[in-house]
Amino acid sequence: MRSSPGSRGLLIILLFSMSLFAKSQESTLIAVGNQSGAPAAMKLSELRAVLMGEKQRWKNGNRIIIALMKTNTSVGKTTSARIYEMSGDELNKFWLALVFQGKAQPPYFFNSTSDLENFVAQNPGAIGILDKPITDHEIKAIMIDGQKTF
Amino acid sequence: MQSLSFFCLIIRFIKINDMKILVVDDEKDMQTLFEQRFRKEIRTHEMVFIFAFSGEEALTYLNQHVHEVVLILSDINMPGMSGLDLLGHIKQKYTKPPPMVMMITAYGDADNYNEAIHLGADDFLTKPLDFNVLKEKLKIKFNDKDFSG
Amino acid sequence: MVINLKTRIWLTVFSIVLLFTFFTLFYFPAQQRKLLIKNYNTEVQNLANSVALAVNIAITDQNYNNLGSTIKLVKDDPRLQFVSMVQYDTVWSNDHRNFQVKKMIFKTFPENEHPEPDVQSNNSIIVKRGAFNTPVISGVILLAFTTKEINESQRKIRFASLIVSGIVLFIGILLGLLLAKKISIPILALRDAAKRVGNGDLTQRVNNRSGDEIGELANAFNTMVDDLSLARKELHETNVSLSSANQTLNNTLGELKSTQTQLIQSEKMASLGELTAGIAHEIQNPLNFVNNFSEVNKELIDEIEHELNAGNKEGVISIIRDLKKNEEKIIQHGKRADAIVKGMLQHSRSTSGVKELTDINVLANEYTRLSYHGLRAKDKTFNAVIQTDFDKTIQKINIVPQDMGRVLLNLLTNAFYSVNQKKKHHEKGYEPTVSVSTKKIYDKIEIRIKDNGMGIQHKVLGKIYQPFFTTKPPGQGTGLGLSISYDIIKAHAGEIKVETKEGEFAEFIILLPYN
Repeated sequence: MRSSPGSRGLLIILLFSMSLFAKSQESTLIAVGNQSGAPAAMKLSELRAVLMGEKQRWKNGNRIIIALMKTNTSVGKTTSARIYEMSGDELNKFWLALVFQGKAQPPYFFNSTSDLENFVAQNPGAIGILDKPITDHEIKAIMIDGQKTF
Repeated sequence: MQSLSFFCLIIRFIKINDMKILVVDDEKDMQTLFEQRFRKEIRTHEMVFIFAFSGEEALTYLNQHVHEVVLILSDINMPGMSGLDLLGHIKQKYTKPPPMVMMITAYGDADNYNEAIHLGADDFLTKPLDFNVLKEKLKIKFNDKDFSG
Repeated sequence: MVINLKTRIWLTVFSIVLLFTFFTLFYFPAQQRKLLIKNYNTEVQNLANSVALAVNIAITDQNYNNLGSTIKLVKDDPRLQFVSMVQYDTVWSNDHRNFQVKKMIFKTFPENEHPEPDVQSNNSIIVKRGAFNTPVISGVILLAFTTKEINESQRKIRFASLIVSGIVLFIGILLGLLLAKKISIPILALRDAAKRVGNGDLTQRVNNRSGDEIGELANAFNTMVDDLSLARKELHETNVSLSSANQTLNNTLGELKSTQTQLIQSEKMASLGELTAGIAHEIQNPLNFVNNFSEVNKELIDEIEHELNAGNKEGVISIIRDLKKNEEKIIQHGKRADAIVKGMLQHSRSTSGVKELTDINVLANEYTRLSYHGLRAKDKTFNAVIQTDFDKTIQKINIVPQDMGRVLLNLLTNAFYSVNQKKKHHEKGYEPTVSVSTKKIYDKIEIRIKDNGMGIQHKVLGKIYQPFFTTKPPGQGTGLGLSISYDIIKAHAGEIKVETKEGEFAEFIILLPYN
């Protein structure tokens, strides 16, 4: 194969996504949601928007409730780095500002994944970020950019 | 003159008996009066008059000369011992013989008279003194005495 | 200036109400405001603190619920001016010796507010700070609430209290006036009635409408005026009866005075009576001598004739001598009798009060004898030793002789009576003695009359000069002797004293001025 600029770009992208993949293969993340509220699939940018608090409600009207792992957990760290591109502290500060100004509903932070899963299962409109495949079948996994994990 | 004859009688008596008459009166002029009224008798020593001016003086004299005194003429009202007191003393003390006592007084009332007689007065004369009466009485008394022996 | 009762009452009420008004309008609201502000401050502080705490929790625990609800609470409060999160950063200097604290506004709600980090409370806002401290971020929550509401309520309160005060003031003034009137009217009525009573109108009474103290006062007033009216009547009656009693007393006094005069006269007569017997004897003696010496002289004259006839010249001379002597005696005793009679007459007369030069020794002597013989005439057992001691250097003194004679007579009579009484009770060895003496002592004549009789009892010593006082049995003495003597001596500017020992002696001492 000859390396054209386009193909080179593609290659970079592939490599990048592979690296991303590689990274994520270090800690992959899964987006989960309550049966009601969150869609079955979303784009990553949408996910980001939701998780950044830019959106308040789902299409069905349910309030968006964010569930995350605490930033002192590995999942939490990964979440804040990958999705928010912030450190744990920066994330806290971010949400502090938002809450302070009353602009968004802050996320719920959990110590354990099972807690998070339970929470998501019980709260319509809840959406959470995990790293393992779900064990609870009351919640659904959301396809992000067509992928199960990201 | 009656008085003269009486005087003669008295002279006779005096000559025989040498009698003294004691006059007791607080008035000193009584002495002068007696000496005047009996001046003849005194001059002739027929009578001798002794004068005492109080009852006490009289008694003092009598203590010494009672037997010489034949007659005591005494006033009743005198200071100190009264004439009646004197009379009483004399009649009690001197009994052998009791001298004659005649009271001469201004008080001629019955009480004084009776008291005097009761005490043994031989006679009672009132003042102002009538010397004629006195001389009369003297004569009578002396005559009686003389004849009684 | 006298403020009347009515004014005083309503002024008092008015001042109280005014005070209340002042309190309500100014003081109370001011206090209220202070309290409200304080509470407000506390509230704001609390809120700031809770927000700060919520921040702490949110950061450290990643639990934003608390913060969310707290912030919501704050935001929903209409009083909120702004709420800011201020970040404090400690910036060390290069040498790590000094540091500065940089204050930076992190976030503010609402977004149009841009407070300074050092903003403070003022009249319109209360600013409070609640500190939060996390490893991630430190600073304060700046919370500012408006005081608009408080100011508003303040205005409302002030307005309300103004109204209330006005009403209360009005009511107060009315009540005050009413009360003043209610009290002062009956009191004024009482005052007027009292004034009229004071002026003599005893028909005044006050109406009594109330049962309270004023009513009681009115009743008491009425009773008092009744009593006063009654008392006046009684007083008038008493006056009438007193005046008639006075008249009676005057009459009695007149009678008593005339009785007294009679008694004094009878005293005189009594003493005169005592004199008479004495005088009789006294006169007898001089008369005795006058008569007898005259008779003697008659005889002597006869003797002269006799002697002349006999040619006895010596005898005649001697008799003439006697004649002369006797004449002198006659004259002497004649005068003596004359003097005695004169003295007796003088004594019976009322005193002329005319002083004459008198030989006090002669007077004393005469009256001594008079008194003695007078008593002897009445009581033949009466006897006494008389001692006399007359100071011959005394010249004649200016006295009323019959008066002074009476004095001496009285004293002597008393002396003789006393020794006589003693004689009746003591028989043995008692010698009644009365001594009369005169002496010149400097500018006075002293006359002493002493007896060794019964003496004077101590308890009657004070009474002896009282009129009608006597220790003699009834009917035996008038009791006037010493009283009259005392008066006579006083009239001569003299003194009379007594020294005595009961049962032993009594000595009367007269002192007369010797001029």
